[in-house]
Amino acid sequence: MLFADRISHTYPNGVQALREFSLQVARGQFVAIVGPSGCGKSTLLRIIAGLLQPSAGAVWLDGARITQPSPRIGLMFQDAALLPWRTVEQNIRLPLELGSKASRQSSHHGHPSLASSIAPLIQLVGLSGFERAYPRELSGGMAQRVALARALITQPPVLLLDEPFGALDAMTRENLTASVESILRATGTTAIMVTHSITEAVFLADQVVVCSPRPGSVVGSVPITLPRPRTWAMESWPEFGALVGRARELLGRTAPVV
Amino acid sequence: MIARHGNKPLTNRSLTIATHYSAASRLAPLLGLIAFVLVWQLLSLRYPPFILPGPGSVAARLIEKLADGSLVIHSAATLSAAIPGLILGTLVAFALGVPIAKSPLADRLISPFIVASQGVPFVVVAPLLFIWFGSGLQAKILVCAMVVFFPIAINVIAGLRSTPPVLRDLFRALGATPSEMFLKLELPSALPFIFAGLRVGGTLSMIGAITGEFLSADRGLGFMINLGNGLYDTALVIAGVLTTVLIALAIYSAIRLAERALRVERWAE
Ligand SMILES: Nc1ncnc2c1ncn2[C@@H]1O[C@H](COP(=O)(O)OP(=O)(O)O)[C@@H](O)[C@H]1O
Ligand SMILES: [Mg+2]
Repeated sequence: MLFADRISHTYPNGVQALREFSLQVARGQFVAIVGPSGCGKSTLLRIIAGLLQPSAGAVWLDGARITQPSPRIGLMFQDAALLPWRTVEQNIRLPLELGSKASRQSSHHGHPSLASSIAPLIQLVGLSGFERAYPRELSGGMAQRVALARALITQPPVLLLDEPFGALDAMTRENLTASVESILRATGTTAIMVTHSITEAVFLADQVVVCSPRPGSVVGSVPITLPRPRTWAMESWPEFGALVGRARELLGRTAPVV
Repeated sequence: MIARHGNKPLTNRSLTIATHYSAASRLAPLLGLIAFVLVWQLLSLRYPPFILPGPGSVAARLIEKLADGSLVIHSAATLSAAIPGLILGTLVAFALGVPIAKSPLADRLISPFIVASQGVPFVVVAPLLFIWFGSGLQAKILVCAMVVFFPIAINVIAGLRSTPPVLRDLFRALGATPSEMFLKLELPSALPFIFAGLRVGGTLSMIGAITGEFLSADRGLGFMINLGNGLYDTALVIAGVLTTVLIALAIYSAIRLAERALRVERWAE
């Protein structure tokens, strides 16, 4: 279980990004965080990832406190962040090449075979045939698929996604969202995703957490009761619309809707 | 402190010969060359040869110097200062540029000297080097290294600082060690900058070597040009200049080839 306990963070320039933000995510659960831009969502994810020390509060993963980056946590950003001099396959393998052997070993949970042969992973994210392509030859959606495969290759129990579809067009976005839903369900990965899109949050999550304007704290959350696997056809269900409405209402309580 | 720069390597864009040629753009330099020689020929008809010899007499002088072997000897002498000078300048550029890029303390400590060094005209410093190191090869290599050092160092620093923060986060999150961070991320990210610096430095290395030879030498292209000057043998002077330019172009092309071999063009988005 992942537990963010009353996280507050003030940057050295005096900007308070987070105030007592608490979050509990059960194993295998998908939590989506929505909130006005600048409310500290990226800051929160960087703290959970161990990239940033919070001014106050602590993050616990299965009872161990997170104080530095851990191979048990995978990351995906809005930018695919691929190395342009590496092929798709070489980019996906990057996590296996970095860091001490010990920490890499401990990160291989479940199926270590996946690390040695990445073909199934490439197929899972829909990149078959593009193994030898370079990032500049890929569309934005393809590049994010590479980033997803790279995040999954070490089989981290937790995946953090910071607006991973933010820069994509609507069609690509729906496509990729559906892929991510089925992939994370198949791998049983715990996920925390930040997104601008309430619809996307409802589609993917077991729980949508709404964040207040800066300094960010939790306003409320909406449990998502839709069955899985999710499909975009559900968007027209009354239940889907009601859930989006509840999340939007929570969001509206905190700030004027723009 | 040396300022941060944007994401473009620091050379004049027009200096960068494009990677992909179309047939028309392939012909363009040739047409330019023909026009240049024509204008030169026409102009030379109006002046006596000791002021402006025509392309024909310069070519004759070149062939003569090639035939008696002296052009090769002079070129080899100049290159024997230019190439080690380029290598030495590059090594020093890395030795100072890497710490400057990585540590704010080193930046404040070293950068003022680097910037100040560019204010010193090297034609003035060069004689000092000859006093300290004698008039041999060493001093010429040092002059040359001084000339090429700056553009390479500036690009090494800008290149190492150009690593996108999101990639830095990624490497940290993946538990990269400091050496992995440098070798697998920062250095490859910096390659387009480093090659831009090397292209400028490589071309300048010939100027550095020739300057050294102007001050003190008994052989080399600079010596040959100086000799021609003294004898009012303007055709010889121009032949020397042309040879220098051709060798500088060859060095530039060799660096371009290395860049292509590493396929640095993949870096561009
Ligand atoms: N490195 C930083 N230094 C100072 N202020 C920052 C830094 N990063 C973010 N901020 C500020 O903190 C606030 C929250 O930023 P962020 O976490 O990126 O918000 P979000 O991801 O929700 O849009 C913003 O006001 C932003 O300007
Ligand atoms: Mg953000």
